[in-house]
Amino acid sequence: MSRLIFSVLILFATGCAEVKPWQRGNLARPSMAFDPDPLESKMQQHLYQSKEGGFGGYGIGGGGCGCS
Amino acid sequence: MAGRKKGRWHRMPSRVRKGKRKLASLLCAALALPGMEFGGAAQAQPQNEGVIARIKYQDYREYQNGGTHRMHIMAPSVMLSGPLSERTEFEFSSTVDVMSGASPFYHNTLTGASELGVSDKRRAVDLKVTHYFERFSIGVGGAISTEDDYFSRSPLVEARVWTPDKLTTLAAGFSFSNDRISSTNNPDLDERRRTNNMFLGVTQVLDQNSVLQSNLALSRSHGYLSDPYKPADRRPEQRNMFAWLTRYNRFFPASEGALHFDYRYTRDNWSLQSHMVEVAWFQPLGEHWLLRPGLRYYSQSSADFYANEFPPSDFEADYSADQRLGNFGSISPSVKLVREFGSGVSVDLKFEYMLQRPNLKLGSAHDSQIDPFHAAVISLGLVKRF
Repeated sequence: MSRLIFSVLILFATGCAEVKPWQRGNLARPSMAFDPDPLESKMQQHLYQSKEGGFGGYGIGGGGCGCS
Repeated sequence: MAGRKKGRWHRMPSRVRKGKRKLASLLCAALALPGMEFGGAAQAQPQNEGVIARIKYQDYREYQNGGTHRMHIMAPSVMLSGPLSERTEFEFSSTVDVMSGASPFYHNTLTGASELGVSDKRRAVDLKVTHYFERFSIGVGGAISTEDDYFSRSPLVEARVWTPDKLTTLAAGFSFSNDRISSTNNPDLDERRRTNNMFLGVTQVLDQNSVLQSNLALSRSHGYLSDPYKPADRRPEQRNMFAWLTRYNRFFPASEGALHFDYRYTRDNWSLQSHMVEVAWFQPLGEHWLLRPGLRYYSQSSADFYANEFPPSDFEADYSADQRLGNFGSISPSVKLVREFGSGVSVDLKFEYMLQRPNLKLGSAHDSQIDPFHAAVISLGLVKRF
């Protein structure tokens, strides 16, 4: 596990090219957003959380049980 | 703030001003592209998308015991987001889950089998307001969720800080939830559960076509964590969970498609560990259509007090036969189709199938007695951008 975390840190430290503002057109496409459909993501995470033992990591918020 | 900007602009040599004007015009051109948000990939500025209304209807059906219909959930929901001022935006959402059917009594024996069918309604609302400053943003909000037997309130605060080039964003958040638990089977039950959630994340633009995000989340729950509907269910009063999620998005100019790859590891003090991998591909088809196939795999090892037996051998010890705390693996293929219409309207349809089985778990240990569990989720959505 620590090797995996280390690899990600290395990626962050070395893998970043300089990207000028006018080179960010592709990054700004809706399909490149982490949650292009935030309502879907919210419902999906709630569903998985009610069916699985491990959850979290997608952000802060939500609440309630809906555990059935 | 505007006055200061103007002053700085006029103090610049004319050559620099020309260069800056050129840059500004390029930026304006970029901002005019649909969905374009300068720094958006690193989540470093307001969305600038105007008001967006989303409506979704989700239908969830699950099956077990060789096709027995177990639980049906209908979930209509809405989300409204947009600017409150030039630098402030809000996001509001509301969901109603209407549940009916039978919930597992223990293992896969259903309450419905003893004619104790489950019928419940969950209503949830949440609101978040985010204000953007020059180099950071602050968001505050809260969520309320109510059911016949469950009430939860959770305020939240989050902050983001980004580098001047907006290629790196750090995020931190904290939320606190105060839950009240009852039971329709036992009206005398009145228990509390408190949870603190902490969140730390970094988003990094790697190059013109890829962005990486890595988040750490810690949740600490204290209080009544058992399930009041499962006989003899008795869980420890403290649960600390650590989750580490890494997400990678890559755009492929040749096909104009985008790949999303997520990996998450979680571990808690109940010895439950999980791995999750999710892959999705966003493919535009012509001018108006988008197809998104996806595949998610999840695997968990059981909590240390989980027992694949009923009744428990020791009624004084921690015990749960809830299969959600057992050993299993799960695989979920999905497909989503989006159709863009004119004037900011789009409609989407998604189908997801979920299969949970003990032998899909990573590694060898599994409880072969638990029947496979299937679920089908269909959702229909409508988005209107004003």
